[in-house]
Amino acid sequence: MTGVLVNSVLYSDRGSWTSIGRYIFDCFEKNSASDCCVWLENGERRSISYGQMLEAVKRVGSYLFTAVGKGGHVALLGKKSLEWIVSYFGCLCYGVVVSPLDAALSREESAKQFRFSDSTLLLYDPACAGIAEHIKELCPDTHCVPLRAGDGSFSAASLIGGDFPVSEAPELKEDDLAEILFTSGTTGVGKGVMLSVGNVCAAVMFGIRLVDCASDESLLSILPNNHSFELAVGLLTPIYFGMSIILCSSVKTIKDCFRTFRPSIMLVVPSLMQLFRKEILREAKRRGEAEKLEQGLRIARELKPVGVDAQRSAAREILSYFGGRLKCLICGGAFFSEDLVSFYDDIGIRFIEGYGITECAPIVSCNTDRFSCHLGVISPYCEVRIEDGEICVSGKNVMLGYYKNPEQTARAIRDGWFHTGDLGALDEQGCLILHGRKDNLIINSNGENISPEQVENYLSTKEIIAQSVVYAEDDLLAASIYPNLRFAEANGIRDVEQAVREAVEETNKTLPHKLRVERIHIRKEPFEMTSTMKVKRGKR
Amino acid sequence: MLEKVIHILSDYTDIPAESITADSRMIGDLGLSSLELISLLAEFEDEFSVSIDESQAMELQTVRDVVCLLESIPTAKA
Repeated sequence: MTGVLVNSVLYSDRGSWTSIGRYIFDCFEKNSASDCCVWLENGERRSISYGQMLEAVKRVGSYLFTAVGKGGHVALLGKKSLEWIVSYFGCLCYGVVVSPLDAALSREESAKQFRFSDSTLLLYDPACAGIAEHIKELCPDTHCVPLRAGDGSFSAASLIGGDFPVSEAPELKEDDLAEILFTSGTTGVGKGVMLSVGNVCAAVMFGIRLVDCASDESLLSILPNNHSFELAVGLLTPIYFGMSIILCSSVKTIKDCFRTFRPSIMLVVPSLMQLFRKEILREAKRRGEAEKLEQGLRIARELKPVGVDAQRSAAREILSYFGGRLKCLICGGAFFSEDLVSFYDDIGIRFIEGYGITECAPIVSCNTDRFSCHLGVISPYCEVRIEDGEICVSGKNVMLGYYKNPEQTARAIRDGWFHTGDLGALDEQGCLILHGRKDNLIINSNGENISPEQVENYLSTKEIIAQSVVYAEDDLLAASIYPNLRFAEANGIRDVEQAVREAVEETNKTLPHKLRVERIHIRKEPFEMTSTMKVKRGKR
Repeated sequence: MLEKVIHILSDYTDIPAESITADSRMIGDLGLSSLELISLLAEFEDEFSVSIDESQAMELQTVRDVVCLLESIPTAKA
């Protein structure tokens, strides 16, 4: 770590940008000789330098700019790949409004998001060709371009390697709309969060002041690329340092990436950290080395006062799981339990934890020491105040509003303060403390936001289900269900419980993992209702 | 095939094999996270010498679903 720290947390010797396009170009030019992206292709190491990225982004950006113009809307669909990232950067640099769609959704839900975003061009991964076809059927005027094409036909990949004429990037203003990100809502497509050029800049300027890295280091993230945390911290922050972004889109191949690229920084959510810890312990048990590992952990813990190097030396075996160089975890998305944090802290891995929300681009606060400063100091790009226990944010990182939803925008942003729906407090040091949610929103260990009302709406389409309340139980979705006994009787259904279970199973099949109901509790009595004829949720 | 799948799941989850049935839910009953489910695909790939697309993990709700998936791959070694 070489930079100058301010307030023990922020590095002061960083530049400042108000145009995200200028920032990206400057980073690419400054670091032209270093590897920008690295990945495995059929087991072989592949890479692209920052200099090559600059050319690639200019070509794809120029094409998109020519196709839809500044302020035109483009949707991106697929897992992280070189072509996806080049297209994303191309949109940001050329003033094209980008909507990264959730690749885990069904084709119907993806198509709904696409239509809602008013995109006229879709860039899609070949693995999502079925969804692209469905979108084309529903919106025949859509221009669908694959990110890669096996036969060499027109695609983002052919643009990267081709000679499409490069045009000058337009000037970007801070208030220009840069991206529309989808976040959970109670119905339909959810809410489209409009982030401006200034919002994205504010998040990235905070990000580059939180860490200090060298160009020979690398960052690995496998978080979904429609998440604002991944976009701001996983893609736009590392380019400042000229470090390599390891493209890994699945936990299936993550061990190969650890071995080959030996990351120094990782972006994680709690479920990933739980997975790694479990696998480390399981691997040790399988090799008959569980006791040795426990001993290493104990020694590392005892060496904590001596310093990180001693801890890392004692925990060398564990660190080798990650390739041996991992020094820092940047964490967000959901609550990290203390025992999980301690496991990594004990082996000398620095733990940076933030609080954020998509509507704030997303970082609001960040710490570098969980044990002394909760969720950390507030970003210098915003202010936080607590209103009736609710965390409210004002500043450069607060969204322009919800796309095509002025009513919800007016409800969320009042007198210039965005009301997060999170309950919290500020301690005497000015560090943020989180207490929970004001509404019913469920945040699972993947950092995914789930509206229980949305799942209840899906369940209500089944006639055998009269009423349901969905809630979180052990990091899973559970539903308390009151069956429609009249329907059962009229249709000669004797085993009502089994019929309800089958109905939930059928519903689950149409939903992504995060929305699936894993536990069912059948009620014998109907739910109590409120005066507005809504189910009383607390009475499940 | 079912016994082999249960053996892998038991080894992965530390749940006794006799407590796992074809109807056990991968997430609800065996306590796997969606990420662990995908990570497990690599174990099944090694054991049965097959290649499983990650998107297929989305379909796997019960142990029976895993067995059906593996049996649908002609090259899978039982």
